[in-house]
Amino acid sequence: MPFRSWNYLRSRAGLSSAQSESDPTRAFIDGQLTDDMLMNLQTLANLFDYPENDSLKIRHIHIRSLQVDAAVLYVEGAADGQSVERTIIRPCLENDMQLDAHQPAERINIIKQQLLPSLAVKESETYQELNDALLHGNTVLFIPQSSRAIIIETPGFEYRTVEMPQVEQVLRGPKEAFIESTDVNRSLIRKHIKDHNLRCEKITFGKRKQNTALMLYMRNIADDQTIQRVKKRIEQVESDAVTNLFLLEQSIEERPYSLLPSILLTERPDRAAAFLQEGHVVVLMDNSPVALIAPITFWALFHAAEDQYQRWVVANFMRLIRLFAMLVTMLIPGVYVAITTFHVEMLPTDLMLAISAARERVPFPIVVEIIFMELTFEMIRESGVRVPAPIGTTIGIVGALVLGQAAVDANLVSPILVIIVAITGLASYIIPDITLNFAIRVQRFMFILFGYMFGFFGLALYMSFVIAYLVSYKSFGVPFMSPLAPRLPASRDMFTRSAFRQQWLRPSNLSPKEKFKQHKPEGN
Amino acid sequence: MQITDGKIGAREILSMIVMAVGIKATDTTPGMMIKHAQNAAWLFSLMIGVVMLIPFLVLLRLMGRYRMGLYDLLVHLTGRWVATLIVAWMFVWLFISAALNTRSYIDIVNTLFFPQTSLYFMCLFFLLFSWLVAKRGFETIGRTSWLLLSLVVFISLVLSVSIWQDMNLSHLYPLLGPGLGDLLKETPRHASLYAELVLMCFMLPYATTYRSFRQGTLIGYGLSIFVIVLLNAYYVMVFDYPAVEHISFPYHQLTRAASFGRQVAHIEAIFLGLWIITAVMHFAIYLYLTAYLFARTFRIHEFEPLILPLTGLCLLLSGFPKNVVQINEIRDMVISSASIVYLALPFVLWGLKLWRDRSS
Repeated sequence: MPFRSWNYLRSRAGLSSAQSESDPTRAFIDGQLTDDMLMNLQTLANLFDYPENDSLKIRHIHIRSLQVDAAVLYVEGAADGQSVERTIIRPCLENDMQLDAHQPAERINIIKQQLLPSLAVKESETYQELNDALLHGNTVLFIPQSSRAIIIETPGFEYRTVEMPQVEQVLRGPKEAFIESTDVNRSLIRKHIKDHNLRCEKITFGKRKQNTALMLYMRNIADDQTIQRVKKRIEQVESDAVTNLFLLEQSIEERPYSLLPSILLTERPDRAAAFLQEGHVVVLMDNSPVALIAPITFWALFHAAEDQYQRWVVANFMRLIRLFAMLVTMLIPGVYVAITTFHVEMLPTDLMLAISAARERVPFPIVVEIIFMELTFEMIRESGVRVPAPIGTTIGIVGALVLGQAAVDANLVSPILVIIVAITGLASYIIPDITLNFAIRVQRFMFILFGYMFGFFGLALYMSFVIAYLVSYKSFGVPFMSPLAPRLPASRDMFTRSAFRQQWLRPSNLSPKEKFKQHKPEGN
Repeated sequence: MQITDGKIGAREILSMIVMAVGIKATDTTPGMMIKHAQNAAWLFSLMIGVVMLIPFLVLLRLMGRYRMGLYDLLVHLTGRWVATLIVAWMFVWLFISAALNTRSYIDIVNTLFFPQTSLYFMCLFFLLFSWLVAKRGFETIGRTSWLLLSLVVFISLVLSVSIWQDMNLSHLYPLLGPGLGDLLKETPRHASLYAELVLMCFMLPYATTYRSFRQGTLIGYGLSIFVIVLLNAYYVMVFDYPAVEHISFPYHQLTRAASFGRQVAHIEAIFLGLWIITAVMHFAIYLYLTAYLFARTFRIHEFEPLILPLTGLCLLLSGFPKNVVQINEIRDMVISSASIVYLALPFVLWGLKLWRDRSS
């Protein structure tokens, strides 16, 4: 292609040397397109550091039906090459209708209306928009003497197909999980909510406003203040490095140092849909096989996806087991330390004698013993996550031998402690949400410490703090333990749930616009 | 609808009253009651409850009439200086009570469960956690109390069931204990045992509505009195008079008697744990109220930061008494000397209102 001199172009693009040192691309991005096609091309080429940077592709074509030369630009890897060829280049080259148009605006209209078979086509006249479009996998078409360019959607990012959930598994219920593409994720949610009130807003954030997130909510249910709060929080994110929901979650939460999460990430479209219908806001982003849900309450973390799919008795039984497991995970090691250190009279005499007989040969105090075992267990768990799959079985063998047999034989720990740690470990896997699971596992060590210091007195002191903290914690202005404390009108769905058809009231802690899910059932 | 606007409803007020007043059934208060009323301690506690209710109803009526909390009412009816004086006196009284009670609670735990642990160390941690709860604000204290109320009801039921077989109804007789004359004489002297009820009136501006405040305080007070009467009756029924007079901590002695068959015979540590959780709430309410009163005395607007220094001061103060006997004596004195103020204040205010109405 015919290049004009660099300096000439740089000066016409308004780029001074001082600016180019601080941010070499800034001056190219600001500003409008000119009616000089080559000039426009050159600016974009500079922006992408063309031709040294191989990713930008420029293809010159001749549009037969209009008898003009045009240029097609796309970013390799972002745009789908085949679709560029099929939906842009081939129609322009092959269509031999004789169309008569001399004005650039007229030509653009004809190209949009009669030549291009693409679904989504729009015009633009700023470099910023063209730049964003190219980076998002779209194709840009320039024609001579026009200060507008055509943007055609041809995204070609790779993603996997929809698969089964890896973390939130269920026995009964849908078995699709989100994947790393926003479009697919949105359609998975749409499949659950076929309602025109489901609104989808695009939010751009970051210093260059190049990161986008999709915010979904039910227009007729979700509280406006909550929506604005979430939106504002996302818009305030400054960093460009926030490229997925896992980072976004950490960027927008209120208390980054808290053990408790104020946001839920779920990989299940059915859960996201259920949250939407209760008035929560769902955020989707590319590269994230999850949906972000805000605000949340303790119950969102405590409930599993399956709870509503199982019948009433089964679901409540599961929930009670889960509550029990949660208390066991958090308290049992601490209670064991407290009882054996301060309150031995609580144990039946035979058991007490058995424990002290087993502990006779162990040289360490009980707290050392239990911390040693708990840390070992945590290490086994962590290594189980990191270990490459083919050698994963070794972990099981090492874990079973070290935890079960060798430590006892070597008199490092007493056998009853192995049982305590094993029960704790088993129970901790019942907690469905991974962040809550982690929070409780960490708390366990605090309970061990207080149990060792003051027995049940210490456990109770710390417990009162934990409860008060849970109650005072808020997620986007919604109290964490609501609708239990503060008590607010809602269908009963907390530690236990009522029968599905009795859940006709939306939880009012989210201030929903429509308070009822359905009519109040007869006879209640 | 804005949910977290710092206001609390009837449920929260109800449970705070239970945490502030009802818990007195489990500390050294029953010992004091038994000392004065012998085996009629349950009747004595009921009589104090009724006597305290009358001035409280007057106060409620006054606050309902003016639609303002107790502090504004005091300022409105008695003028700024007198109001400040009254509030200052209440602060001193409540603060001394808080320090004494902290020491008394920790004495119980220390004597019965952790004889080898340092008393001051335990006081330190106890007040530290009370502060951690109190600093989260009145709203949080209320909501946490509400969450824990079911726990209180649950423990009371478990305790009742587990000691059922040890109770003997005939121990309650003679019903009037030392005689009606003695009871009537001692009742007004001990009215300030339930003075928290009057002090809670300072918190009316934190309630969503006057109606919910009235509802919460009355039901909460009723529940508290019920618990106190019930437990006092239990103590006498299980231990019998005069043996019960020599038991310093009847509640904890009672939990020692609690058993479910042979295997679950010593569950007092669990009762201790649950009791401590409610006790932390009790002192969180105390600390919050003292900070409020202190701030009103010196016209400080932001009072929540004051909770920490007051907690520290409370810790220092709680170290002064030498032993349980001394604490009980001081406490009896503090309570009987203040009763007249709490009993008379509402009537004085009522009189002032009438006088104002007439003169205007």
